[in-house]
Amino acid sequence: MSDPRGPGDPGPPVRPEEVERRLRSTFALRAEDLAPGDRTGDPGPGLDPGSTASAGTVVALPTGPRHLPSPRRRLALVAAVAAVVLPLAVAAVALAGGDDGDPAPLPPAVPRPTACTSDAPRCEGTSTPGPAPETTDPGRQRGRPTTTVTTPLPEVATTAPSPPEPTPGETTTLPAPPATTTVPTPSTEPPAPPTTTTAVPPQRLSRSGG
Amino acid sequence: MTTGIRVTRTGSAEDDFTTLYRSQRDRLRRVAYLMTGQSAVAEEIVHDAFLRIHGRWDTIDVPGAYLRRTVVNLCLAWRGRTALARERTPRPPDRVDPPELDETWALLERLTREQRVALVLRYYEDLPDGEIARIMGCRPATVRTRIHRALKALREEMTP
Repeated sequence: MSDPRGPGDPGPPVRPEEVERRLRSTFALRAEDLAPGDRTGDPGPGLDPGSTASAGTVVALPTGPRHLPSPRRRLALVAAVAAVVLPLAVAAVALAGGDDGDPAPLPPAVPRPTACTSDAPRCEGTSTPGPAPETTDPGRQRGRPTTTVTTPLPEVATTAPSPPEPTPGETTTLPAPPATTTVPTPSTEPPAPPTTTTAVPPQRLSRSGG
Repeated sequence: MTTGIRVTRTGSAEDDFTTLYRSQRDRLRRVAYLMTGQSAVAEEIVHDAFLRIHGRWDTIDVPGAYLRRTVVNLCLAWRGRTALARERTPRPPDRVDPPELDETWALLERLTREQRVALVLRYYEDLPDGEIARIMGCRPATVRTRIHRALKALREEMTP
């Protein structure tokens, strides 16, 4: 009459045969969840003739020759695309220039000491920010071993910016290396002028000579 | 249930492959669904298996058996890769099943992948231990152990 089990009593466990029966029933029932003709997203080799679920789905496939544009129109299309893409590409290159080893030289951050031609000591003084041009040196950005120039010989930096500028008075700047007397920076005294001439300027020597 | 798996070659390669596909696809899809619990995954696995067998068609003697073993391996690998998907096993659409079957289906998610695959091969495919062992790549004793532990776990969780 009344249930002998208590409210929290789960009762006797399920018999093994019952577990197997439930398994078989569950598998059989769940397997029917999949319709035999369910071909949604079927990339298989052809449709099954016995399929019924996809019978009502008709997909219109493109038939006949494709309408390709004429060569002239294709050319115009390419030209139009190039007209749009090329400026964008150039702008992108200009923006990203020099960041990743771009060999394009950057504009000098320090004004070129053209006045050095007339005033050598001031030139030396103004060129004390010499290291700055080296920072803008593209060769250095590419990893060239120009660090040897900066560290051992600071004066190289002082004279370095001037040589690239082929100003007419550059021949007069040649004596500038004696600028050791100017001593605008505390680090310029000791370095020997000969080292500056040897390290810096192959070009300058050649220019002066020529 | 295992009649279709004995498909062997009789004609041209394409004809044999098409025959195998038409005769085994739905069946293997159901098996994969029971093993994974997700119809979309089962569909993908079966297609993947057919693609693989198509690439090795000339080197396979018994394509049907090879195909089924491939599906089982893919089911095992899939369940190993995406354990989170176990929690999202879809409910059967628009059908009211007996509660004990829903419970059994839910409890299957708690089994290990090897246990579930072994149960499907045993109680859906009606395969003997030796055949299951060959498909799963283990010994028959291992199959018996897996099935025994799976049944024990289910029995402890099932409501009478």
